[in-house]
Amino acid sequence: MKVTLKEWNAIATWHWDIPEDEVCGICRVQFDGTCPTCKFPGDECALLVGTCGHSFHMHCLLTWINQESSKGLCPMCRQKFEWKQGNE
Amino acid sequence: MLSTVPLNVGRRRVFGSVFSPASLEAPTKSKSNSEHETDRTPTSSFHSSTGSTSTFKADSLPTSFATVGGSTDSPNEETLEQARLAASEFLSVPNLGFQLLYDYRNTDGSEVLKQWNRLSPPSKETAEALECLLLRSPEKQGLLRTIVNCLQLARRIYLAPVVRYLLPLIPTPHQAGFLAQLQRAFHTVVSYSLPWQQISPLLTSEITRDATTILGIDTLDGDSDMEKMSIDEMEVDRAYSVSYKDWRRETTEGRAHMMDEGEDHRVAISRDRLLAFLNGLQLVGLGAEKAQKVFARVMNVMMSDFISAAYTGQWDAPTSAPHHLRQWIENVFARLAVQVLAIIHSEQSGTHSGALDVSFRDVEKWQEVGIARLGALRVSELFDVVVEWPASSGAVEDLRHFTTHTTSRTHVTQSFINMLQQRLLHPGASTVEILQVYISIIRAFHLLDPKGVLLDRIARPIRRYLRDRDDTVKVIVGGLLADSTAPNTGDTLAELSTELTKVHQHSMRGNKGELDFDDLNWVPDPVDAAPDYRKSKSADVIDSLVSLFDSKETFVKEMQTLLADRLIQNRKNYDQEITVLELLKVRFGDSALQACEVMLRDISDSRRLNISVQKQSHTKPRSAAMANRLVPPDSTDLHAKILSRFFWPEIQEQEFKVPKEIAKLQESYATGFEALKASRKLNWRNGLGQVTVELELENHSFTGEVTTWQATVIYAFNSDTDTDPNEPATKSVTELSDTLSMTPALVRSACLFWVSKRILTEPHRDTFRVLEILPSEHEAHGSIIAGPEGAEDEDDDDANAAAAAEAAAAAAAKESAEAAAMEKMNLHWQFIVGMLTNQGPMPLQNIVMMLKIVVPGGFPFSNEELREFLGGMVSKGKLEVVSGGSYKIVH
Repeated sequence: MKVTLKEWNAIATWHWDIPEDEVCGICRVQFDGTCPTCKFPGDECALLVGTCGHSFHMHCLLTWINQESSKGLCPMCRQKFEWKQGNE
Repeated sequence: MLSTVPLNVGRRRVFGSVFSPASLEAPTKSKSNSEHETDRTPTSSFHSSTGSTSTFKADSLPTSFATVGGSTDSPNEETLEQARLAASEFLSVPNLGFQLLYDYRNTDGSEVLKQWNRLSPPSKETAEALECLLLRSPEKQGLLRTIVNCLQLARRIYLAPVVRYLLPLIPTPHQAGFLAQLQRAFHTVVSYSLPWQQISPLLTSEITRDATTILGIDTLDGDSDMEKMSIDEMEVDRAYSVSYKDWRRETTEGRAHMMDEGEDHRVAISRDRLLAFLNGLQLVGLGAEKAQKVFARVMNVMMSDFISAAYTGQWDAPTSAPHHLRQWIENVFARLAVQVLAIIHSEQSGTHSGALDVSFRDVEKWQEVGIARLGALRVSELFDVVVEWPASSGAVEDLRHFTTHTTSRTHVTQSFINMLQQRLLHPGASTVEILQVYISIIRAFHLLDPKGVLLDRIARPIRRYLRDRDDTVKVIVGGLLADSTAPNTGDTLAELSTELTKVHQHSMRGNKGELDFDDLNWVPDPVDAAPDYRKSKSADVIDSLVSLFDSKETFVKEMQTLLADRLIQNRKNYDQEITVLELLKVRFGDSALQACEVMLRDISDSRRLNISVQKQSHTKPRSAAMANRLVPPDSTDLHAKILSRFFWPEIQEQEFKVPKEIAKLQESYATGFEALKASRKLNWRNGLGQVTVELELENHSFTGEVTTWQATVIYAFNSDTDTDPNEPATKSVTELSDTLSMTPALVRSACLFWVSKRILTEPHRDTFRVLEILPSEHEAHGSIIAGPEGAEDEDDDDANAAAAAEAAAAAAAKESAEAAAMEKMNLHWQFIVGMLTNQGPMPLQNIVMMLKIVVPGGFPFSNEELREFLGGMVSKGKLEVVSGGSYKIVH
């Protein structure tokens, strides 16, 4: 018997490739979910991975950084927050 | 009786002057005696008073009453007659005159009785005769008519000589009084001798018989027969008809004349007969109030009969049943009443001036009674009316005339609720049926009572019941998502999706309810509204169904599950789902349905992603070696649906290894995905999805879409590599389950599926072999004889095998679901251990109670499930059952 698989419709789920615990430190929502202001996860609600090793929803972090009192520090470790660029 | 004695003495005098004494002295059995043998003490006065009848009978009618009475076909006629004779002889009073009684008045009476032969017991013959007569009630048919006829003759005989010879001798002013006195005397005799209890049922049946014809009820009953007949006898044009159906067919002018003209011959005969009979009745003194009462009773029954005969099941809209009924009452019913009452008027209004006894107000009252009866009929039919909706809207219109009083409204709701409890709200009715009826109820009652009070009251028990049903949400959501254009299969509520598109614009406006202070058309709630009654502006079916549940969450959750199932299916487009979701968003608001929206977005994103990933893999030269070695030239197309896992409901699936080739494809797909979407990874859900496979066997082939696990299993039978092509591949379930790391149940289910497609056979239990050469019917039979061990599977026809495969798949799915449930239960195990350690042994009830309090989000398992789980723990030795059924931790 010859079996040919003509077409395979697979189902997969995606997740962010980050090692840490899965909750955004600011909004306490899973990274695979959305930040409170967004409706759709993924492209529209990206993550920022900091050089200090802490990740946040982009929107959450930007709101924080734009505040006067934040002084540009990571809310978790109080180091200067800089995010990794590209595929680094 | 004694009071009549002087009268009788007077009567005898009159009689004596008319008849020869001999005729009086010849006592034959009296009519009354023969009628009422039970009357054991006929007095002499009684006897003599009916002497006239006897005379007349002896002269002109030699046969007895029963014979005249029309029992024509009785074979026992002779016997009866003899019995009657014997009985009368035994019972009759010897005509010894009053003098004898007078002589014995001071004795104890036994002497008299002996003398009158009252003490001797009846002979055997007589006893039999009595028994025969008493047990056999006489034929009633036409009996009364005969009695009246005879009495009329008797009356003439009684009065004729008076009128002819005596009256001229009396001075003129006294003539009327004298005649009236005689009349009254005669009437009194008649009414004494004929007990009214017995006459009234006879009279009732007599009137009923003719009235049924006159009022046209008999033609309604046998309507279907009549129609058949009328085709044959078409030349007889029946313009006269009281049938509602015929009436509806007529034009407006035709309708007006339909009932008062061209009366049927048959009806005319009946009418004449009845009126003549009643005339006689009145003359012999059986008329007047008593007869009126009987007549009223009959007419009362007639009206109900007519209404139920004419209007039952006539639910067409627009209704004109009330109009038709009014016309019938005015033209047919009232006409008969007027005619009859003109005859059987009471004594007081004896000087009949020709004025109508029936005033116009009476007719109006009857019409109202009729309308109320029609309403009552409709109430009793209401359930069927609702089931037939919308073909039956006419009936609801009829009912609107009825539900104008508070009491009648209560009656409608009460009886309807009772009917619902009896016919709908029981385990025998499926949820779809109940919901369908509920939808019809909403529509029907909206028409009946636009304010919605009745609906509010009736809906309560239904809603309460629906809330208790497990699958209510499922059915509703399934209905919303159903394809309204597809033919209705009866197990979905496709109506809902139509409804959804239809009415959503209504819900957009004016939902402020009581808080809208600018509403100038505001009126208070109706008096009979329940305290927590809320007015709903439109008959919005969807709103009513969705508001069954306290929160939208249950609803949305179910929506998600169902949507997930449908989105995972491999289909060209999902327009239907998108439309439904948009419409639902209008109702529920965006936020409630966010997850559903994400799901739809995932699917459409995946489609775009598919294209770009494929493009990428074509343009970017993959490692050529890999492409050549692993992917055959007619390579498999891999399409993926990539889901955002937090927004999809948990989908039960089973893990296994996909074929190597597919795994490679998935890998390269994942690479492509990661290139497109930075820092994201994919998890493959191998249990889900669809595969199109093409099987080529020696003399048959198969192409079709199957599940991934079915494809994986059959792919394991692929024979292009290591096995001998002439030897069909044979594998056992354990072997397959090891290599594919699939559960044995799932493997077996997949194999059975392929058996049902006649690709595999099962020569031994749990061993499957490829069926390279499809046996013809003949050969198949041969193999049954040849190989007995294969026989049971071989002679399974396709249907059986398919059913077995389905059952196996269901079993596998159940297994995985149970495993998932156990997993969840394991979470709670920690709670239970802690609880039993700290608080000591506890019975099951307490454990459940504590868990319900403690576990966040509620404890989702039933007592039985927990008992099973704890039982498992007991058998594992982690728990033990101590006295009183309490569970205790084993240390």
